[in-house]
Amino acid sequence: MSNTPQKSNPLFKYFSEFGVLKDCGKNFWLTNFIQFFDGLSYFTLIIVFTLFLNKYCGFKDADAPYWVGMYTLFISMFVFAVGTICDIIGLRRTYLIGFILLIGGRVILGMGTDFGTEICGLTQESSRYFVMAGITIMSFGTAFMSPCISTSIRRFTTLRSRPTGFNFYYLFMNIGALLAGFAIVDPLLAWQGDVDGLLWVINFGTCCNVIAFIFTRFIDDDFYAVPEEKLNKKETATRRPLQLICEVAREKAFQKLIVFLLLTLGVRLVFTLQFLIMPQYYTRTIGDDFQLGFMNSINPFIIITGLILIIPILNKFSTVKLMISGMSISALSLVLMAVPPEWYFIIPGIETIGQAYFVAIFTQIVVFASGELLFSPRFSEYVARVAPKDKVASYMSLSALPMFIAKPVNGVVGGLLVSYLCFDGIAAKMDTGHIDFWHSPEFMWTIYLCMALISPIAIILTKDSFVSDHPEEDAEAKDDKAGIAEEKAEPEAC
Amino acid sequence: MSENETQMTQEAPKTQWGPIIKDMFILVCIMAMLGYLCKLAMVPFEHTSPTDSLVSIIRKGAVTNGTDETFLKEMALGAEQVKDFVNYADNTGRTPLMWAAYCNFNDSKASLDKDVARLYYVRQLLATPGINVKQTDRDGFTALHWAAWSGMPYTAVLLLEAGIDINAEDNSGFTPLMLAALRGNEQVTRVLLSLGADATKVNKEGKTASQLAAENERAYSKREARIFAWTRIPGLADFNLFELIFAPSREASYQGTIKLLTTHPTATSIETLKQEMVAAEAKASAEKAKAEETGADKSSIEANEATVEKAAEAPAQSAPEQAPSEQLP
Repeated sequence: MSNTPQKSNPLFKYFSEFGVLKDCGKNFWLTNFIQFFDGLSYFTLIIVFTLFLNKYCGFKDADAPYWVGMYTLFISMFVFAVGTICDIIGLRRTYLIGFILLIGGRVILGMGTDFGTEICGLTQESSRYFVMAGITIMSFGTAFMSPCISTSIRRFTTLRSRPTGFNFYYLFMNIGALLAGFAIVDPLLAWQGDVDGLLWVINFGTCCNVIAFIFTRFIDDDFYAVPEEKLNKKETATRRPLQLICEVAREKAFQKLIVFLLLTLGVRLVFTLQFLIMPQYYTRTIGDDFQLGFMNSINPFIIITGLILIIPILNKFSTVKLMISGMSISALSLVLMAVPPEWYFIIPGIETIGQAYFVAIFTQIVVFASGELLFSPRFSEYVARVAPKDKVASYMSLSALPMFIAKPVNGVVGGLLVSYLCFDGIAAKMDTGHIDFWHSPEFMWTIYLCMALISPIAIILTKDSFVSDHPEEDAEAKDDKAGIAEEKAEPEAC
Repeated sequence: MSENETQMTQEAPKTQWGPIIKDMFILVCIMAMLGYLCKLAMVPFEHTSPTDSLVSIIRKGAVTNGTDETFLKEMALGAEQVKDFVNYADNTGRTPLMWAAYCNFNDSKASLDKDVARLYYVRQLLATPGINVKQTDRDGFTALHWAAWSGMPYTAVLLLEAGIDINAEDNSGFTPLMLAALRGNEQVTRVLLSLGADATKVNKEGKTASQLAAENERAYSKREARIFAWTRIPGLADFNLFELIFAPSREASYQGTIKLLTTHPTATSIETLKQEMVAAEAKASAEKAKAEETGADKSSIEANEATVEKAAEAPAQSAPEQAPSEQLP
C-alpha cells in the first residue's frame, strides 16, 4: 500500500501532511478563521485601494499611490513596534486593540469623504483629511494582525505540527487572496458600478473584520500547546523594538545581509506595483469595466498551485540559483508591458490596442507570478539561513528595513509616472495616435524594467562577495575567524 | 482569583512600558518624517489644477434628489477663487466639461448608464455663464470628441445643442463621428449622423469613419477563437478569455455602427433627441428607485414611471417618421 501511485502524487503528498493538524485544538482553527477573514478584508482592500482613493475620495493620480505606499509603510513600521506588545498584553487584548483600530480606521476610510462633504459641509479637499486619518488608524490596526496571528499559530501548535500549521496558514491566506479577486471584487464592482462598487468592497472588508473579531472572543488566552513555551515568553517580553536594531546592526552577517537586501530592492519594488499602479494602468488602458479581481486572482492561483506541485521539486536546486532565476523572470516579465502594443499585432487574432494590452497584462501576470514563486520562498529562507541560530526572528523582522525607505519612494515615483504616462483618458489618445513611446505607459514600464533588472545583474556580479549557497556555514566560519582575530587583537590593543 | 492565577501574577515580570512607548514614538517620528520628505520631493513634479476637486466630484457622480450640493458648492468656490474657472484646463488641456463627457467602458450599456448619470453635471456646466464649449485639449479634442469616443449620446446631444462643431477635427484629423465609429458606439453614431455629421471626411491617414468601424469590427469578430475549445467540457469549451474585457455587446454595436454609416439614418431634430434623453433619464431614476426600494415610497416610483411613459410618448408624437429601431434605448 505504501508504494501506491496515489502516494507519489504531489497533491496527495501535500495534503496528507495536514493529517498532523488533528493534534491542534479549537484555538488553532479559530486562528485560521480569523486569518482567513482578515486576509479577505486585506486583499479586497489592496486590490482596489488606489482606485478607491482616486475615484471615490478624489485623491490625485500622484497622491493615490503615494498614500497606498504610505499605508504599506505604516504597516511595516507599526508591525515592528507592536511585535513586542503582543507578548506583553496577551493575545485576546492585542486582538481587541488591533480590531478596534482596524474596524474604526476602515469605517473612517469608507465614510470619510461623504461624512466630510455631506454632514460637515466641508469641501472635498478638506474631507480627504478624514480619509488620511482613516488610513493611518487602519494601518496601525493591520499591523497588530500579522504578529498576533503568527504568535497564535506558534502557540496553538505542538512542535510536531508547527511547520505544517504554518504551511496551512500560508495556504489559507493565499486562498483568501484568490477569492478576494474574482469572487468578491469583480461581482461587487459589476453590481454597484465602477465607483460605488469600490466603497462596497471597502465595506465588505469591514464586515469581514467584524466576523474575524467575533472569532477572537472565543480564543483561550492561557492555552499553550507546548506548556514550556509559557516560561520562555516571559524572558522575551520586555524587549524594546529599537533594542533589536542596536543588537544586530554591528554584526558582520547582518551588514552583509543589508547589502544583499539593497541589491534585491529593484525587483522587490516591482512586487508592490501590483497594487500601487497596476489597477490604474489596467483600467485606463483597457477600461473601467476591466475584470480587476480576476487578474489579481491569477497570482495567488499560481502561488497555490506552485506550493503544492512545484515547490517540493524545486527544493533540490541551489537557493541562490533559484533566487537569481526568480528575480530575472519577475524582472523580465515587465518587458511584456514595456514593448509597444502594436508589436502584439503579429499574433493572429490581435488587431486592436485593447486586445494587445489584455494579452500583455495577462502574460505578464503569469510570468511574474512564476518568478515570484521561485524567488519569494527562497528569499525568506536565505534571510533565515544568514542569521545566527538564536537571532533568526530579529534578522527576519529587520530584513524589512530597506523596504521601509523604498515603499514611500516607490509610491511617489509610481504616482508621478502614472500622472504623466498613464493619465485617465490615455486610451482615447492612443486610439488616435497622439501618444508616442516617450509619453506612453510603455515608457513607464521601461523605467521599471531597468530598475528591476538591476537586482539580478547586481546579484550575479556580486555573487562571490555577498551571496553564498551556504550562508550559515560562511557566517559560522567568519564568526569563528572574527572571534580568533578579536582574541588576538585584544591583548595587542591593551 | 484562584491560587494558580495569583502565583502567575506574582511571577510575571514587571512590564516597562516607558522605553517601549519611547521606541514606538521614535519609529512613528521617523516614519512621519520619511513620508513628509517624500511628499515634499513630489511637489515640484506634481500636476495640480484648481479644477481637480470638481472633476473628481463629476467622476464620482453622487446626484441625490436631482442635485449634487458638493458640486454646486465647489463650482461656487472655484468661480470665486479662479478667473474663468469653468474653462480652466488641466495639464492635458481638459476642462471640467471634457471630463464630464468622458468615460471608459467596453460595455456599451455601462457607457449609456454613465451618460445618463452625468447629464446633471453636463447641464450645470453648460448653464454656467462664460463657458466655452468649443475649447480643445492639447491634442485638439473637443468635449464632443470625448463624448463620441466614450459612447455618451445624450451628452453629445447637449453639446451639439450648445453649439459645438459637429465636424471638428483633432490634430490627427479625427472627427467625433470617426471616434464613435472607431469604438463602435452605435448610439453616438446615430445622433451624429442624424444631426448632419459628414461621414465622407478622412483623417490624416486617409481613413473614413466607415473604414475605421470596419477595421475594428473585424478585430472583434476574429477574437471568436475559443481558448479551451479542445477540452470539449461544457462551459469551459465556450470560455473566451477576451470576453472578460470585451463585452459581447460591443461586437453587435460595431455591426450596428457599420450599418448606420452605410445606410444613413433619417435626419432628426435636436428636440426629438432631447425628449428621448429625458425619457432615458426618467427611466434610469425609476429603476434606481425600484432597486433601492428602501426609503423610496411607492408613490414616487409610480410618479417616476408615469414620467417615463409620458416622456416616451413625446418623441413618438413629434417624430412619427422615425423607425423604432433607430431610437436611443
